[in-house]
Amino acid sequence: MFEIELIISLIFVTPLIVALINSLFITLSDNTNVKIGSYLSIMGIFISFILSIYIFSLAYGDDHYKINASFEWFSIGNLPVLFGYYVDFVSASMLLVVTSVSLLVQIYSLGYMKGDKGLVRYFTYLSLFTSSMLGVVLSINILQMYFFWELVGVCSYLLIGFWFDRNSARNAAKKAFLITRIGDVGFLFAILLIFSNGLSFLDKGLNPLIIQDILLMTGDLSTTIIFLVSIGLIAGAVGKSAQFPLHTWLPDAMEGPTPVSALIHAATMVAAGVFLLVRFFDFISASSTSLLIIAVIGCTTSLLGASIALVMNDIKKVLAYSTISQLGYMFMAIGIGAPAIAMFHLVTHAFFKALLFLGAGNVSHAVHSFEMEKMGNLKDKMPVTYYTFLLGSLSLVGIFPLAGFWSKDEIINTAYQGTNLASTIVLFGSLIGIVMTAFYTFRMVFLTFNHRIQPKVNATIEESPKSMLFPVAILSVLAVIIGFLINPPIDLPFLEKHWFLHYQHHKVIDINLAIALVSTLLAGLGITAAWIFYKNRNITDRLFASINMSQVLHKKWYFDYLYEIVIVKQIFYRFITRITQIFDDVIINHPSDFVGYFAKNLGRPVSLFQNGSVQFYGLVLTIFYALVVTLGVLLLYVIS
Amino acid sequence: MSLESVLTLSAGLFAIGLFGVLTKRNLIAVLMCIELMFNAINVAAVGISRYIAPSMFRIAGSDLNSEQVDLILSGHVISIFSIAISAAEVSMALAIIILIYRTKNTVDISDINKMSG
Repeated sequence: MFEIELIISLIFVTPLIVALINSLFITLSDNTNVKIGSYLSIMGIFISFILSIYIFSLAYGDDHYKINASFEWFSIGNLPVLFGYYVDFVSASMLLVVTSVSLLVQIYSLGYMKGDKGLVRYFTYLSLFTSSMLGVVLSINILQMYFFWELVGVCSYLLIGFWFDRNSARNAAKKAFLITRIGDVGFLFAILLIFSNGLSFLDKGLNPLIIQDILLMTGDLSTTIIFLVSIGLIAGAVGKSAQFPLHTWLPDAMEGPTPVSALIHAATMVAAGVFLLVRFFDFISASSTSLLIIAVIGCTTSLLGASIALVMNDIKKVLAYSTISQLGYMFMAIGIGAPAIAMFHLVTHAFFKALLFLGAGNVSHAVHSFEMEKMGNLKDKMPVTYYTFLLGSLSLVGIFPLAGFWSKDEIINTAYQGTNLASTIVLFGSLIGIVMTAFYTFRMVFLTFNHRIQPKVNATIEESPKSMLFPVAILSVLAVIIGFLINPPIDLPFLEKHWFLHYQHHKVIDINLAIALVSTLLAGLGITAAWIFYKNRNITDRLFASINMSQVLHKKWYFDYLYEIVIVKQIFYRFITRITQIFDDVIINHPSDFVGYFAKNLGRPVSLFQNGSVQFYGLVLTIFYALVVTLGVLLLYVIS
Repeated sequence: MSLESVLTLSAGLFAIGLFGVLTKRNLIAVLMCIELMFNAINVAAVGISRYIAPSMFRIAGSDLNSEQVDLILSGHVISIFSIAISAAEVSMALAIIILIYRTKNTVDISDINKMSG
């Protein structure tokens, strides 16, 4: 067999090499280049995918699978900073999710992005993104992880702003980059804080930058340090996973191409925050306050996102807010102390949300718009898209036995079993969330596919090409079965009962029929409500317009207003920059100006003597000489 | 005739020459005034060598030997030397003035102010 080190390195390196090769041809956009570039990219990710399956199969067979290797990146004093990988069950499953969704999205892009001028650039970015995301997953070292973490952010920036000739895309890219950066400052703060406590690590022979060593040291650090570091890590995760209060970038990120939204802003990158918290769960869980904070953030975000999704008219915006809401569910799962379930929901969500985004991509490809106003009655025109989209929606809502049901049910069940405050919050938050999720999801389905007739547009609409339907079909199969396969409630001939949770050493709770029934009923309630409301759209619109709440939701709870107008324009530009400007003027500018002014004008009185008239020079010379002589004589006289 | 009157004459000549150098607008006149200052110095040199050096030796109270005579006469020699040099220098200065006149078409000193800062 191959060396295992080589295989793991190849998973990460292959897309990187592909990205580098493609970057050489980035400006060429004739057909051959585009074809070579895109197929190269897909080949690269396919190799990564196959190797990831192999690694995952190893991790599946071994209860305590851990493998790591590293080399010295650089050293600080005697402390080596390592660059390498650490693979356990969590990262192996994450590898599989990232590579498989990435592969399907890239295949989908072949059809969706066909004819775009920057296609090589597009595939370069996608490969680079996949590579850096795999880097985040594999990192052994927290500094290395931060490095890839930022690289993922850069790729997200590049891809959101892929159509950089659009003003809105540029602004969205900037917004995403800057807002996630606010969270990243917290992450950096956490790293520095751990590093500043490095001596106690070194006493035990541990390295303060290695993730597993940090987890080992948890018991030996003071609770204050643990709490502060956890807050920093949570801030990083909140920024990357678009949680309240840093969630505003994700809906704007929908300016990027739809496959990118599916890959980065639904399935993988935004899950990086959740992955970070899962990675550091043993550390964070040492402080129950930070867990409660995570639960509250998750619950707030989940309800906030779902409520805004209720009224959005752009199909991608609905999905974006739905993503925010579902990421909130993952945070809730971590908050109640069940990182394995967060990972479970991450995996199922990755597949059904990618499916929904690609389905939305199909629809927009046909209608040339994302506005649900311009859609309707697409059911007959695009049957494949409709049924797959329906499956994805049912999975998102959590209908038995689709993927979303199993993971969401585990969250609710665990919260139900829990006794602390966080569990109570999560239980109610997630139950309310289910109704809202069902409502907005089926509002979207009804508005897009059913109920309305728009003959003018409909004439030209047809089903998407095969390269776009193929990934959608695969994802829809996964969205149906993956929840059951990952966490089967009964022993299957080829899979153990609850194996996914078992391998993460999570205490398995058997399915609670009452909870399952309640959540399904709530979901059904939401779907029925959507059916009643959107059966006849005109009534609903009038109804909604009459409620002021709807206006608040349309304005997205005024968060954009708060951040852009109040915080940035009023507080930052008017107040903080004013103070720094005064500081600049008084402390920096004026003294330095004075130095220059002084030097510049020092010579001015003297230069008056330099008037070019020889006789004047002679006169000055004579007077000066006479003065010196007189003074000298006087001095001599005084001395003697 | 005393040393004082000789030095007074010298100082007077020097002052007149200096005044001329600083005030005259014609380059030739300036040059003449410089010569006047030269001659004031010569008068002072001759006068000092005539009055001060012999009185130093007379206080010693012996006859003058040839070295002392040389010393007494050195003031005279210097003034003759200086006159010769000033003659050479005047010829140079006149040549410069002619050149200035050729290039600038004037000998007015206030027009020659290329050295202003």
